[in-house]
Amino acid sequence: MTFELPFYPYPITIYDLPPELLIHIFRFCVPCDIYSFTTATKRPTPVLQPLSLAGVCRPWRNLIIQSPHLWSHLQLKVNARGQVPFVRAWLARAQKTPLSISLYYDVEDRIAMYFIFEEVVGLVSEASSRWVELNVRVPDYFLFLLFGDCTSMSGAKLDVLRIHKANFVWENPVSCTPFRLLGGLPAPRTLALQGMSLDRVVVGWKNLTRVSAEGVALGECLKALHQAPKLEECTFVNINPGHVNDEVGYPTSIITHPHLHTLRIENTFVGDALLRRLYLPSLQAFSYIPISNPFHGYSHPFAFATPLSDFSTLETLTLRSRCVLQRLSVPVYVPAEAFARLLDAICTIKELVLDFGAVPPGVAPQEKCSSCSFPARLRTPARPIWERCQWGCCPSSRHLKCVPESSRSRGSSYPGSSPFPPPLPFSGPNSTHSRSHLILQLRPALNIGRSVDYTSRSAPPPSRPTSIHTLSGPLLSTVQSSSTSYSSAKKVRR
Amino acid sequence: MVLLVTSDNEQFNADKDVVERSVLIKNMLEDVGESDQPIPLPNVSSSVLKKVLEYCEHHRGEPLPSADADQSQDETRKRTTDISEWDQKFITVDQEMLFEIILAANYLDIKSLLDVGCKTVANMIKGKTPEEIRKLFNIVNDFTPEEEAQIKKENEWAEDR
Repeated sequence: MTFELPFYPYPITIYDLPPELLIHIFRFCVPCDIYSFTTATKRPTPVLQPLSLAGVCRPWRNLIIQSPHLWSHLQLKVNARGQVPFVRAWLARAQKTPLSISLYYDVEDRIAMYFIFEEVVGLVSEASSRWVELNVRVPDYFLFLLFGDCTSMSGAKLDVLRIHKANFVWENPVSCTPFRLLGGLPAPRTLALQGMSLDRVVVGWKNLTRVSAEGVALGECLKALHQAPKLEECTFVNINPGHVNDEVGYPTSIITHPHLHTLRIENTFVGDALLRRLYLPSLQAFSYIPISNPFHGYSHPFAFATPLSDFSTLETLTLRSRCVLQRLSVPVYVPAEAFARLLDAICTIKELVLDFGAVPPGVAPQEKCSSCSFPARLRTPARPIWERCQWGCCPSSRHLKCVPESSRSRGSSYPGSSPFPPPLPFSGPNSTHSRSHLILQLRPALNIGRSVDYTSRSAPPPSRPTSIHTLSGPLLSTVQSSSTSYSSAKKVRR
Repeated sequence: MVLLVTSDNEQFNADKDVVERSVLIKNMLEDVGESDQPIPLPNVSSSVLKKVLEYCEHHRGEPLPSADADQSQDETRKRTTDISEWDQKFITVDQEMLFEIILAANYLDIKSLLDVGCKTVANMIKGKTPEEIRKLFNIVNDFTPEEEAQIKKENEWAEDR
């Protein structure tokens, strides 16, 4: 892209940038991941960028309209008949570029909406051979309008499919209208469903590596794990037990999944039932988020009464699977003894994330730790674990040294860089609360007490980390520990 | 050491592995072989070259992006505008210098610096209305009122109302 430029003795402005450099800049302006822009933002939305840029001046407009790749992301809230020519023009400007499409629905008048949606979807479906990403948030009875043919002649293929059923009233996910393309069977690598049964989406499972499903039956989860051999990351939210008849046709034996390394279960009463049916030799990260208290937005203290009641299921799963579980994310309301037993048994855990839920509003300053500013009230339920860690690693330290959150290294596991696809947006009682978390990087030396027999396991015990990191809301705390501190701890114990 | 001569006839001595972050200079050095001859850079002023060398010095030793890296990046459709903390501080300059750095990076073929500059301009543009963008960069609105009305209408259909 090098070319000869005259030397400019006068002040250089944006006018002096050659077209190829302007295009290079514009490409950074358009979204790279359309899904990150799906939350309702007021104008100008990022997906408007090509239009915003084309409205600056005539040279820019000509340049942008002649650059198809700038029009490859279309996000549209379908709400007016006038959008039809707009969509037609957008798709024409995209020419043969692979397309990322996001369609939303947000009007009260269902009948009028239907015809508008039909027209827009008709245009979008005509370009279906170029779909690489399709996100729809519509009532399920609109889904059949997507008549696309994913048998691509242009080399593009649908890689990401996200469907959020947005009906007026709740309807059984099992009985909703299926998503089925007329031509070919899409085989995406990422599938995210909300309010829609996995069985109602007709896709090929062989390429799936990431699945996120909300409001599905236990049997469907097992079937998904059974049918998708390449699955690596899985998120199941609101799993329901399902009707006994729903189990017909679903696998009944233990499911072995050789590649799944990350499993996240959220807001369900049947976590134990799911884990009992799995054999996951590659599992490295497990996250469990309990049912939220709808009134205060805090983790529900009784949530453990039903799912993962004493963590023995998880313990059994890890031992049965002979996996090297390294990251465990659980809420703070955990029976201390059960949790201590779990830590003793699964001594491969290097990172432990405790979720304190929302920070209670109006925590008085005196209730905060004088050193680390961590709300004392929040520490209370975690005290058995907290004290155990301090006692095991740093008995002389009363407080942890705090480091600003900005010092937190990228790649931290929670919550900003979740390995999962971003959850489908929905509003919940917790959405407006700030949350605080405690992340502990554990030394296996902490796992004193019950010994674990490694002789029957194929994998040797992992190397041992040397520090504890505590993340508390906006603060990150670090305590360096050493083998001597552990030795002294043992003496204290005696 | 390599001797570089800028458009305003200033001379800069720099380590070979620093200046070789520029593909242009690297190719020139490979072409001429071992030589004490200065390398003229007629399109780069001394103030800009100083900044460019500061960038190259900081990123010395880092792997150079391969020729097909950009293509694969496009294929995976992951063009983020994230800029590292040091690069952000480095590129915090006035608009004129920013555009000069972009032009120099393009001329010298330093892809990572070009991306930092372009991402910075992109971040300045993002989230702004056409009018705000015009104001920011001193761009003249050359649309007729009719054209402007049409553009406004076009944008309205896309708005998240």
